[in-house]
Amino acid sequence: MTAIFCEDLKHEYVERKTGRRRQSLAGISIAVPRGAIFGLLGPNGAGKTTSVRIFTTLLKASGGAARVLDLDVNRSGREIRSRIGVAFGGDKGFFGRLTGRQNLEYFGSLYGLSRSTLGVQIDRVLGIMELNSRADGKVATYSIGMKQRLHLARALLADPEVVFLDEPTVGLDPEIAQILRQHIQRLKAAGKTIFLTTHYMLEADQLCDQISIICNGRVVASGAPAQLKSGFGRLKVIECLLRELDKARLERVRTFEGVASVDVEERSSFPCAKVFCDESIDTSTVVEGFGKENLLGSPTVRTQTLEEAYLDIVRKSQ
Amino acid sequence: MFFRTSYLSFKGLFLWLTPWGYFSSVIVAPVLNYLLFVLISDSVSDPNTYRSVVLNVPFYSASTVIAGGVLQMFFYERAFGILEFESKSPLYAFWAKSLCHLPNGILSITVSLLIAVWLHPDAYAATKVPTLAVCVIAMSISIIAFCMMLGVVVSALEEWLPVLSLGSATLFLLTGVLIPTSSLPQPLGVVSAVLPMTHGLIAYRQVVDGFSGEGFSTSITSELTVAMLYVILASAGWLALRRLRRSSRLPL
Repeated sequence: MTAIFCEDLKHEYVERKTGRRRQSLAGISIAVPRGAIFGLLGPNGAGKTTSVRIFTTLLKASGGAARVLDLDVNRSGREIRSRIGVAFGGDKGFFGRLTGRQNLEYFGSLYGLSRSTLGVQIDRVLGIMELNSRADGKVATYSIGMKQRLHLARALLADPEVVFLDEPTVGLDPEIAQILRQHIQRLKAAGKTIFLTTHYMLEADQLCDQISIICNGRVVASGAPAQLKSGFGRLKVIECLLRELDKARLERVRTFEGVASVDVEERSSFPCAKVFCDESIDTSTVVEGFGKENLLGSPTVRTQTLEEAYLDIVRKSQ
Repeated sequence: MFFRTSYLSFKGLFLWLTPWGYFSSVIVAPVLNYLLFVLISDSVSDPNTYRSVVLNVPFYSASTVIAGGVLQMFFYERAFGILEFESKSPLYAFWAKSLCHLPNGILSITVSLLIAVWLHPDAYAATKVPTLAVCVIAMSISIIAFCMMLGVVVSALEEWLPVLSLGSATLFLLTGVLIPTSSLPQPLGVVSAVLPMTHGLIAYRQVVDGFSGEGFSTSITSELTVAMLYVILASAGWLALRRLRRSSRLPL
């Protein structure tokens, strides 16, 4: 059963300053099964938030089809909104002069919940988000982490079947971000479908069952995190710490068959070459390529991280 | 629940809702405004103009307070990034913003009128309080409805002070506060007829002069009809604005 689905979804808008038409989605297709955590990754301006806004019926698509819980986003907006929750991350979106509880009461009233039901729901979501102790404090005095948890609490008010989370951990310290991730996992355990946008690859790797990478309004890669990490046949990364960077040798290694790319970063004041290659490449070939005498210690071999896979995919698609 | 929603949006967006802010803006400001007009018009030789100022300015003063209160809510809603995500009608949250301004408006007009009565008891000698109360309530409703329509403009432009100035100037110049509507050029006379306060002020002047018959009822009905017109225009404007935002022609 598919909870969120779109095919050839397009979105265009007219830029206010220039009057030019811009395309923020150039025809994306996504299918998210019920009960899954789906991650939409991509650089700034790739179209992640636009996608969330179309699925949550806040924006109208310019073309293609989009369905949430088998309902057309253009025709059944009100019914979809009654069955989903959405958390737009960030510092804004609340009445700073009201308490956390009053904010939830206001937004909950727009869902049409009765006062008694709303009271029970507010206590429930405040409990889930561990905000009870500060529920009666003004939101203006909340930290960013508390505001993010309040966003999530707001999204859960009407006990939705699908929850959209737009960069829920942005700007949070690692400890709070980890707590929020645990909450997201608990939502999945409770049977909710989660649609998550994020910049943090570790987060996507840790949480998501399925990922799509979006770039310039197009989906450029999709699959489970493990599939993406081993994407394009590259299964390993050989890291060589070098005494000095010999550009001629570096270029030669780049031309080896089976080597997709070589990145160089500084590590402990020495250049470290990261060779992204498939299984056919032997470590000794790479070592010889850089020159044995130029190596500091032994090379390390590991699998590609999601971040490396992501950067590679995005770079190629731009 | 509507009352609670209304109160929460009022508390969250009406930034004059602090003890000092409320006292100074809703009570003191219209009174000072009234006193200023009365002092200036003391030097006017025409007794009719002086009488207009004495009698009409309390309503105008209060209208600027009501407009300031309503319009700032639409501005701060955008500034705070409040994105309403509702399964109820979008008009529910929209009209919830208006409700608490009714007691505000009534209070503001009443305080200004009390000062007017205190300063000019003779002018109000023939006034019957119940009919005066009807005038105050009817004009409060129509001014709020008019301001809700201006609120749609504020929400679209994300500016409130220019809209407030324009709205206040229109009410001051075209509703008969100072310049009789009968002396306005014909096109402006038409505009005047569909503005809040115009018919209410006519009814009010009848009350002050001791009449409360058919003419009063007609004027009050006209004032409430104008209010209804702005309820419809504001609702249609709000729905249109949401449609424009949804279709990305305006920022969400």
